[in-house]
Amino acid sequence: MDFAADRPIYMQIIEDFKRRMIRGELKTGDKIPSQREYAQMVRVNPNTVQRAYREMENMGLVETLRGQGTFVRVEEEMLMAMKKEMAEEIAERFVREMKDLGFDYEDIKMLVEKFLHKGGQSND
Amino acid sequence: MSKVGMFKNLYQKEMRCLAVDIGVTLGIIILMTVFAFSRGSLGHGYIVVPVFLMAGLAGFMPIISSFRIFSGEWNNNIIYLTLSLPVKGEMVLGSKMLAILTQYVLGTLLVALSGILLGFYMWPGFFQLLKLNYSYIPWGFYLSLYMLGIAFFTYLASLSFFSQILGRMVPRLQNLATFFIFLGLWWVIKKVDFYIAHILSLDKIFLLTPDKIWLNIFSWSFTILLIQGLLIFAAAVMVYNRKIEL
Amino acid sequence: MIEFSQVTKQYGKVKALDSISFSLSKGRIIGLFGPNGAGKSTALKLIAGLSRPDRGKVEVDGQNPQAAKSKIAYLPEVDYLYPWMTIEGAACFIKAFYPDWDEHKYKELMHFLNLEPDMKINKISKGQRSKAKLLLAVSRRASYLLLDEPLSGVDILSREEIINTLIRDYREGEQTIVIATHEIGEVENLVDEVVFVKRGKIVLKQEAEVIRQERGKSLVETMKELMKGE
Repeated sequence: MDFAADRPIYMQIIEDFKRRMIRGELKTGDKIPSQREYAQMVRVNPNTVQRAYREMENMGLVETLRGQGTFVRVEEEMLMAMKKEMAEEIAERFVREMKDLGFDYEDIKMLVEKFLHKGGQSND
Repeated sequence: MSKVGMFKNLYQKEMRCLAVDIGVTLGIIILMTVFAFSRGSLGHGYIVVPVFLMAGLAGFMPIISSFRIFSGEWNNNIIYLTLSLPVKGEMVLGSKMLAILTQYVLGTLLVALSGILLGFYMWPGFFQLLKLNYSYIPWGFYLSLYMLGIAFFTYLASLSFFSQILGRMVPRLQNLATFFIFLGLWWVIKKVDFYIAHILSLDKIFLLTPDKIWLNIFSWSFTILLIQGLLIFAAAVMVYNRKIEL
Repeated sequence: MIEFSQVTKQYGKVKALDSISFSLSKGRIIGLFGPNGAGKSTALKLIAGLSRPDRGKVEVDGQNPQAAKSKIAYLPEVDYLYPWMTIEGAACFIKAFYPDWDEHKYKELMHFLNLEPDMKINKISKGQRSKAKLLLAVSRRASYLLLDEPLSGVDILSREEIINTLIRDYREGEQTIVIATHEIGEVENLVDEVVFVKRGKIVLKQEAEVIRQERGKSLVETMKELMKGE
């Protein structure tokens, strides 16, 4: 995994886990790599990984069982909330960037509809 | 970690660094011995001259090594390793001193051995002669002479260490500075020696017991050289501990 | 803890360090960043006790660095091993001096770094030499690990191996690593805290994550901005 160098890495680690939980790649009860394994995998300072894991524990996303490892523990409610939060972030960024390009309300709506249509076709 | 273990390790490392020097010294001595054997039948000069040359070499080479043992460390950046080790100057300089003393002793003993071998070769009755005159041979004198040689060598090597360490503190032309510091220290110490001898009126002390004059001269010279050598060595260690840096 | 108070170090007419004060707390990975000649190596040499300050004081855990040498593993930029030594020979030499030598770790790392005990220092590549130096420094469980340009002149594969080794064997909480380098791109994700040095002075000392958060910039970008005019 490559991190953006201009944003805190621990935040990006948390986001990465959240994304995988939302997509269903990680489910409650799944074991995630130990801090050291993960640090080696993504080649990041072990202290940073430790911080990300600690925050995820505080947020109630994962649980560390002594001697067994760290496990995903995410409730449906929370997953939905995360999903919504992430969708809003994407939408917000999208709208902001479109506005920066000079598109107005109608242009954006049309463009979104066009791609929704296209996407619908290819998915069918 | 034992200090002895550390010292042993440092000493072994220094001996490895001196391997070439020691090899060359011993090699030349052996070659000259072989040469003397091959020409010995032509006359005493073909044996006596090589033996003296060998003795000079055995004493002189370690002095050169005492300079090489330092410059090698600095030129190869090994000094970074040496200075980062948790040991002080007494260990670092002590191991170097012991290594070149080893070189000196090995060289001089080999010269003695080859002298004896050549003696047997030259005079078929050498062994007989030795046996007959055993009690007349002044062994004490020879031993004192050898010990005096060691004391003198230690003194010279300490002087070499000390002047090199002082030379390292000069920002530029360190080798030249070392050379002049060596000569300067030599000169100053000689002056001090004469002064001390004058104050103690050593000549008069010697004359009090004319029958033991050699023994007196030896023991006094030995003691003075050794004390001076140790003092200079201690000064070198002190400067090394306080001033040497990168 | 490493502490510099009002430290000045001069070489000839050049002030390598100009009255700097800072402290580095224990158990972290610290980047000492700046262009060549900024004073990074001098700072490391002072911590390792290879140099002494002209003015001011350097302390390691409250001790004079000269007395703290046994808890410091220092990896200079230059090749400081005897050319005739094998890796094993160098290890044998070094381990006699340090009670914290970990033979098991040494053997394991040797394998991990693709090195062989009988490789001779003067017969191996620059990358292998750098890895060998790292091997000898990391095989000790030293409280302080000081690395001076650990990646300079090293091929890309060896660079990765070196970085992986540092992450793999880092002992959180008990070990402090100081990495002095001007090539910061590769160690950007490795440091907790950054000290930017410029002409013997500290221009910024900050948590890496805080820099990213507050400036919205990478460490490389931050360095470029800080070193303008160099």
